[in-house]
Amino acid sequence: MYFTWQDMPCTPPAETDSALAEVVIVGAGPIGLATALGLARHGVRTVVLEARNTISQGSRALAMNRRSMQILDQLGVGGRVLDNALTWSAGWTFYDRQQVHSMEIAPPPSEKHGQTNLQQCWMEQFLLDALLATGLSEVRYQHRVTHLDAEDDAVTLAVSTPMGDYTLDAPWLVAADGPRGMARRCMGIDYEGTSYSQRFVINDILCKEPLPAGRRLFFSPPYLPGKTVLMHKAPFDMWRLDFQLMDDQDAEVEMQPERVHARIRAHFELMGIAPNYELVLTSVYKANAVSLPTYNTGRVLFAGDAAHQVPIFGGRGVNHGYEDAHNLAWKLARVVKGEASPQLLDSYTQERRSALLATLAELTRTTIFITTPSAGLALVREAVLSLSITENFLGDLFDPYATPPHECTDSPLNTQDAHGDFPPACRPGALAPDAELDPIDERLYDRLGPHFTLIVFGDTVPPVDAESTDDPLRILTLPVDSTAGRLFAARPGTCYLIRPDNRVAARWRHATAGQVNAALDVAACAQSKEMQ
Amino acid sequence: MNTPTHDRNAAAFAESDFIDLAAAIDQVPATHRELFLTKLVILLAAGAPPGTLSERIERARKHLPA
Repeated sequence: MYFTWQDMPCTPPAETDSALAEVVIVGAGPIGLATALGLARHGVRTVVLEARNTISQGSRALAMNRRSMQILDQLGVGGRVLDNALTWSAGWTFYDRQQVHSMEIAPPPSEKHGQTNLQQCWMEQFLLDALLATGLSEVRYQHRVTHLDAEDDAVTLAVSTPMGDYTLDAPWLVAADGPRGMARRCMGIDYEGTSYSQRFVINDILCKEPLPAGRRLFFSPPYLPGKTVLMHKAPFDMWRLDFQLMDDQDAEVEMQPERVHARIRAHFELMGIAPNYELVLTSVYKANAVSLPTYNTGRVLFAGDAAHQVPIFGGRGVNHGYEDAHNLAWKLARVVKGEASPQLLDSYTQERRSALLATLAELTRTTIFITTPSAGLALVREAVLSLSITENFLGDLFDPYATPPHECTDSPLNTQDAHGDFPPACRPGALAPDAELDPIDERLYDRLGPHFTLIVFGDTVPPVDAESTDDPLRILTLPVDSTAGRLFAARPGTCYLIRPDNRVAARWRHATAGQVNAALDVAACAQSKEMQ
Repeated sequence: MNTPTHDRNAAAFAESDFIDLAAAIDQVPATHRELFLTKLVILLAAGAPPGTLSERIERARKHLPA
């Protein structure tokens, strides 16, 4: 087997000590653990409650993009992930028996990471190991939250364990407990958006067939006319096969082993592969494109699938979750430590929900192309796909992997450009680009810690007193004539203020200490702008 | 008898296109006509300026039987 699941022991309620927890996190999936690890980077203690008695089963959230890998690097687990993961950059689309499109999504040359596949169980294991090594978090498996009361100054949780029940007071609560999470239901907050009726049977199989890694999308294969099949390679000789069900098919019936094996054998026959495989797991999936109206309500914050659900067709679900964790950790840490007003957390909702809605709009187009929920869509897709055997129509249609990272250009934490000669790239709200720091064998992102960083190009550093504020500011000087200099469109004296989550907060051609401190106040506290 | 007041400057539908389209439709089996016409529209729209298709859809929709 590709992973050994161990029973996690249950911590007896009598031994729990809520006084230690500055933040309680519900859910020890990848997003709950990444949030706890992000908070630990800022010295914030957490208790993580998980109803399961083991790490997640199945490949689940498999595909990580380069932004997630950057975040995982900064959480200290990127190396272990890369040691075990499978990277890929190609995709192929088939119609009936013919290939009609191929894609290449290699990352920009300055970036370290590309698309990276690793089963969720491994992600949870690596994040858990790193979190426990901090000594700042207690992860309690078999502790199920059964109710919560959210007050103005704390959240009281009712927790059930096999060894008895107890209550836990949390100054702050992060709900990372998935789409059916107790926190959301107790607070009576509903998702908004679209749920699609089309269903997919998902299979994890082990197969040593040496096919190149990449995403394979099969439209209308001969054994499933009008429907779609997705095939994705994972590490440890695993393949993930997602079969769309016909509208009149019963999901329970179609999950029976003989039906599952018949589909897999038909698919292998289509690909000309001998059906030598081991079926590991079967489940059913239905696409949801939904979001909560807010991700922060008083002392409760929602992250990952507890906050939103994204169709799987662009490999974005867990990636949005990691971005939630990275965006939230530094803000919540500042609030917990009394360094910022709780209003800073409003920017968590504003930035992350805006990014999520942009993805949902894009993936809605992809989802309707894949699932064809109307007769008109099915007809036009059939026409486009069959034309694509000889015409290049699919190149410009619905390629969710080609989208660059979201830019939070309307964030209240941004200070707008005072100089009009900057290019749009790297503008306030955008992610700082990564770059090799020539001639040193190091990358820019290796130098961006959990603090604010002022990148100064050239030798003229503004006379900023880096220790004068609540926010110790790291200053990084880089040569103008360098890869980073080109990516940041730098001139001598150009400065960029970078947030702890790697987003540009402000930039100047020549900055004064007053300008830097003012921008730092806006980005770190957000008390002087419209959120007041 | 009414006298049509057509715009003489509008793009003409050539007699040869009329014949070609009708012949093509006749040659396609009835079960495939819908798909054939959809492909034909896609091919025409793929080379047209942006917005052409949506404008023509609206014009065509107005001429559907009540």
